[in-house]
Amino acid sequence: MTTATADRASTEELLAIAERMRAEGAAARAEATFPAAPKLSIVVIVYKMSRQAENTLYSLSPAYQQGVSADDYEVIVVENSSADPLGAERALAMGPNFRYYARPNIGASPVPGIIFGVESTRAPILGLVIDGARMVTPRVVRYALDAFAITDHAMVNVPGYHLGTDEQHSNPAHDEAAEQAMLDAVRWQEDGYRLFVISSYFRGRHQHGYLMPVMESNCLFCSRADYESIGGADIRFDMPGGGMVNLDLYRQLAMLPHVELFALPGEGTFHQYHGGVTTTADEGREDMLHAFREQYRELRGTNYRMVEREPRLLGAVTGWATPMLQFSAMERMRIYELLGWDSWT
Amino acid sequence: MIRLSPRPRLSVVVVVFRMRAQAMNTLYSLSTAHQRAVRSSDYEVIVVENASDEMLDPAAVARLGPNFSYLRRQEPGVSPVPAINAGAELARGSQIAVVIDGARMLTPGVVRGILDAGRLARTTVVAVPGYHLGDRLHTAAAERGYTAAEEQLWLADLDWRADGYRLFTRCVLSASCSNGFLMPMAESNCVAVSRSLWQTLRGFDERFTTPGGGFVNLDFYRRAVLARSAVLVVLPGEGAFHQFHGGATTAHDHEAAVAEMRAEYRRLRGTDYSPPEVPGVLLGEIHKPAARFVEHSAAVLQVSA
Repeated sequence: MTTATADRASTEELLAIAERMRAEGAAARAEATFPAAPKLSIVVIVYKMSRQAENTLYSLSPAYQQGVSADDYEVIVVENSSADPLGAERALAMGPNFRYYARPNIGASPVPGIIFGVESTRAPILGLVIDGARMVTPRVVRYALDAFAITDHAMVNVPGYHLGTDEQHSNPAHDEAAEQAMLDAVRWQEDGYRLFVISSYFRGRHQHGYLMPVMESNCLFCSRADYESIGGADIRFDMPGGGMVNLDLYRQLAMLPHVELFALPGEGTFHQYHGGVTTTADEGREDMLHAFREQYRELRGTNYRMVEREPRLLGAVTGWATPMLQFSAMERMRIYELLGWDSWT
Repeated sequence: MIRLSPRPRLSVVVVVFRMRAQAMNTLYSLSTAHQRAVRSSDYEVIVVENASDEMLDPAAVARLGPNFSYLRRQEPGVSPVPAINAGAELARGSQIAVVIDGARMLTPGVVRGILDAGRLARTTVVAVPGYHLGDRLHTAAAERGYTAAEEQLWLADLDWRADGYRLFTRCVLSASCSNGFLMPMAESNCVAVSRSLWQTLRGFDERFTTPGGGFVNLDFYRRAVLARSAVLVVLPGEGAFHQFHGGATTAHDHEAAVAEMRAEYRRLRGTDYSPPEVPGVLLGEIHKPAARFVEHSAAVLQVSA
């Protein structure tokens, strides 16, 4: 996989694209009618992953999410054109609170789609699932709303897992057929917490558990006001998959002094195999990650650093989710002991 | 009584009987000097002391903050239950918390945790896990000659007022939650309920008349957690730490005393006590010293799942 393309747009062109996305998103927002007053808007970006996206969207549907109803939230599906489209019919079948937008592909990054999608939302709370291949557990929406019952400036991180026994990019044997067989075997639609049984924690970016700083969230909730105050997703992250845009968003939001960080210990996002940008075994992966880091340094003037803030836990923990809670607590003790710290403060 | 205004969101009722040093630690732990991210207008602390030969100094209580009030009463019986209900009568908060044993110190995030938990549902029950200070449960410690004086010296050395989470560094889980807080707990020694639920439950049941109220705290916890539409919230990073003081279930003759309490429960409820099997919603930060109990709780649930 290559990381640079000959036809990459200039900064001026990218900013013009962002402006256009905002205008088109605003037009989409104006036409939305249901729910009348959503508390939460979740934007899901889909590209060339119809099977995976269908699972993800079902996991966000009112039929699967517990403790909430279709009136509480809206799901905005933004699909960039590809050879493996999900299509409106399959997306809209998930519930009356789903909206679907097929979009032409602009460059290799999901950021234009994110800008369009966020602009089309109506609720004061935003949820972002930048990679539509990430399924979630049944109380993600409930607990995200709960965090905002506590504070208007919550930021909610749902811990990330990979389906399969190892991280997908380091396990060539993990393919779509193997994954589908695993998903069928646990009948996750009946009890989404069974996804924990067929998964591994995504240690690459959260290697010490969620009680230590993490680099990003693949299912992130924040207030619209906070999202806008940092300028939202930066269109200049134009590399495949958006490069480090997701990490950048996470850091910028978590650095806001009034933001309160929450982690949902009993919930998870589960990455399905789909030949994604950084989650696939590929000999060019390291080169690409290097290019991502270079771009981040170019845009932010510094290397990426994790945000050292204490998360508050929120939510019930089923037996399935306890191994990671145990691991997170152990890592917390071990590392603090090593560093001689009591807290991040 | 001093009447305070404006109306606080939470009222904490603390019952005290013959435990001056321990109670003053507990009350300090509830003051805004120790509780973080809350103001004195957010909550009130109602101290109800049953008369004994070792009384608190009301002026010292008043100095803990404008949100403290003190009620001294004569109690003919041996149960704290009338004192609890008398304190709750004065409560103005939309949530009511009960610390049945004034020897239970609290960590700095308890008040904020209860207030935040109260926003999660119309009817909430908030439980703070219980611990005993020291290396073993106080019934066992007493047999080895552990004393209140020794414990108070250790607390002073610990300088717990500088950081209340240091209490986690030397303690064990109370027997009522020895399996951690992800498994059903038998009670909470700092339990808060919505005012409406308090009214529905008619407070603590005064028919429990054995020393210390017997199983009344367990009874209240069970009734609250199992109440219709109640949401149980557990604060995994906080604790209610028992100081040794020769209380009802920490003295000698423990076994006989518990047998009497168990019999009283059975007489009143027609069955043996069992912890309510409702999973709690966890809420709160995990400070480093508390992490080992999170680890323990997760491990126990994992084995049982």
